[in-house]
Formats: sequence, structure tokens, C-alpha cells
Amino acid sequence: MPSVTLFTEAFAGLAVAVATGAGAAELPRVVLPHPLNDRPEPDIRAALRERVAAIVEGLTA
Amino acid sequence: MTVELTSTVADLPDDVEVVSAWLHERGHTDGLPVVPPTRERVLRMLAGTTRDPAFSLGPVPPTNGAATVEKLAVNAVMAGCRPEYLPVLLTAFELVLEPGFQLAGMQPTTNPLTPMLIVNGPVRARIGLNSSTGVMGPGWQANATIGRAVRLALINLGGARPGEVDKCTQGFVGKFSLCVGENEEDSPWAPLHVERGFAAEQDVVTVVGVNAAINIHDSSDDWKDVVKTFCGSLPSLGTPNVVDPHATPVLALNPLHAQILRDGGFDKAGLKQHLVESTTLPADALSNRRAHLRRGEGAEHYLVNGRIPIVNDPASLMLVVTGGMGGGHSCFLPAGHYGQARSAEITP
Repeated sequence: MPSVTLFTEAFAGLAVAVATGAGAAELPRVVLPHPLNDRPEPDIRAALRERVAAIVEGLTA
Repeated sequence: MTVELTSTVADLPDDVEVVSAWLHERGHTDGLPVVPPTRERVLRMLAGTTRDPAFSLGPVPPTNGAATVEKLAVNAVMAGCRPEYLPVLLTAFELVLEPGFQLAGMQPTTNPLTPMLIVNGPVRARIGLNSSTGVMGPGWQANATIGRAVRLALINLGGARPGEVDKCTQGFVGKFSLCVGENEEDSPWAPLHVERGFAAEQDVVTVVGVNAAINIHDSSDDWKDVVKTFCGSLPSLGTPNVVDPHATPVLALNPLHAQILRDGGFDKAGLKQHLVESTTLPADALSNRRAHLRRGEGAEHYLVNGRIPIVNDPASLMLVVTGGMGGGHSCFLPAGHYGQARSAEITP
């Protein structure tokens, strides 16, 4: 199944470790700014809009 | 019988400074010096178990290294364990790998969360595991090194290197080691393992995920004073269990407090009930963010009788009697967001 994993900058090392441990080291990854969980929703949507192309590329490559 | 070891062997002298530096550079220590895990020391450690060194207890998240008996023995050597401690370590590690313990959530969390080991039964005396004065502090080889071996294995087999995969914001000293015996001899109540369905003569280890301990001091011999102080100490807006209705916080009572409370008419179940019902917070007590987190665990669990309890089910509050009789100091170890306590008989 096409998949992309999204995470914030602070968790980049963790994302790589988890993907590698799961045998999916090449899993497409898209990095978001950190922190994100306490940002207003418009800011979160804006951060994602900037990365839509990368997400689509990861899902379709 | 010849024991086959499969671990990679580095060409290093049997020297604490050299080996500790070599391992530390590669992220394989907790920052403290380690005992060099030579082939001879690992073989001596493995004499403490009847299990096949090649047998794997399972993958350790998140990097999924195999927790073989051999690898756990290597980490036990590094931690300074004696061979007779190994069965406690192996059984505890089997428990932290059970899905219900949710180690995958614990390993990378920003929450200052660690497995606490609670040991019951005759094994405490056999291996010199302290359950009395200074039980959570320095000076006790079995307590210090078994807990340390768990942490080293979580780092080395699960990849939980601090700052890289272990994202704990501040951490706390319990993440180096947290292993206690229950002071069954001075406790007025049935021990924890009996409460959890085991026979008194069984050797049992319980693992539970906890945060840093909050000291609770009251040197009164009046049970009403002690209860009043406990009720004022347990509810805290910032503790993780306030936003997780199903967490398992631990109240570690010193035996003196336990005896005073028993004399006041409390059994364990009654004390749990009283403490949980008497320490609830108002419905609007939490910040917007923390209220959002608590609702995320199930809006139907948000309130109990219109209030926010420290745990929704009093049975989820774990009581353990540990420490010495020297003073009126107990402690509360709040629970993090992840996992449920697990217990098992310690087997060789």
C-alpha cells in the first residue's frame, strides 16, 4: 500500500529508526516544522499545504 | 555442554576504561562505566539461567533488535549483575515486551517514563534484593544492577538512545534503574503478587510504567493525619495520569504508614477507594490542552460523578509497601500515558 510518514523535525531520528526497525528504511518521509501540536489550525494547514507535492510524490513514486 | 555464543566480538583489552569508552562512543551505555562483557563473563552470567542463549524473548521496539537470552546476559554483565539475578531480568524483560505494556510508546516518549520493577517472594532474600531502608536509592547491588540492565537492554536492543530515539524532555534518575522489593515482612497487608493472583511462596516480578516519585512526608501516628496528607498529595494537575483515566499510578507506602493506615481500619481495597474518591478534581480544573488530551481517551470517561479522579477505577491505583521503618516518608509515582502493569512468576 502506498504510504508516506509525516513527522516534525524533532522526531526525524526516531522516524528513521522506527522505519529501519520495521524493515522499511526507504519509506517516503515528509518533515514538518516543530513544534506543531500546539499551533493554531491555520498554521498547521499552511505547513501541510507547502508539502502536498512531496506527499503526493511519496505516494505515487 | 558447550554454549554457542553468536554476539560479535570486538578486539579490545579487558579494561574497564577502554571498553567503556569504546561502547560509549557507539551509544551502547547509559553514560556510566560498564563491566566489559567478555565471553567468559557472559558465559558465567548464562550459568544463572537454564534458558537457551539463542532463544529470543521478542523484538524490542522501536528498532526491533532481538532480545535473545545471550544479548540480555551481555547487558546484565555490563550493568554489573550477578548470575543469580539473571532470571529476574529475563522475566521482567518478557513482561515489558508484552503488547499490553506498550513499550513501543514508552521508548520514544517525551514523558519521563520508565519501567519500575517490583519483586515479591523468597527470591528477594536469595539474591539480596533490598525491600527496606533506602530501597529506591544507592547501595544495593541487586536493585541497582537489575534495573540498570533493563535500561541498557532498552538502549542497546530497542535503540532507545537518549536524544536520538528516546525523546524524553528532561528524563529522571529512575531511568538509570528502578527496581524494588516489596517489604512483605513489615507490611500489614497481603503482598502485591498475592493481590495479583499468585501464591505467597511464588517469586514474582511486576513491571509498571511510572514517572518520577513525589515524596509524601507525614510523621504523625494518627491515621487521619496520614490520610489527610496523602489526599492532599496525590491530585496534581500536571501529572500524566490525570489525562489518562486508565493509567496505573503507584503509591509506594513505607511500612510504618501502611501499619498506621491498617490500624485506622483500611485494607488495601478500602484505602484505594478512599484515596481515589477523596482526591478528585473539579470538572474545569484542567487546562484546555490537557482537557483535550483527557477527552481523547474517550469522552465518556472524562468525568466520574461529575469530577476528575486521578484514576477512574480505584483498582488501577497500585499499592506497594516498600522501604524501611525509619520515618514517615512514602512516595507517589504518577503513571504515564502508556501501558498497563504486568506480573509473572520468575523462572530460571
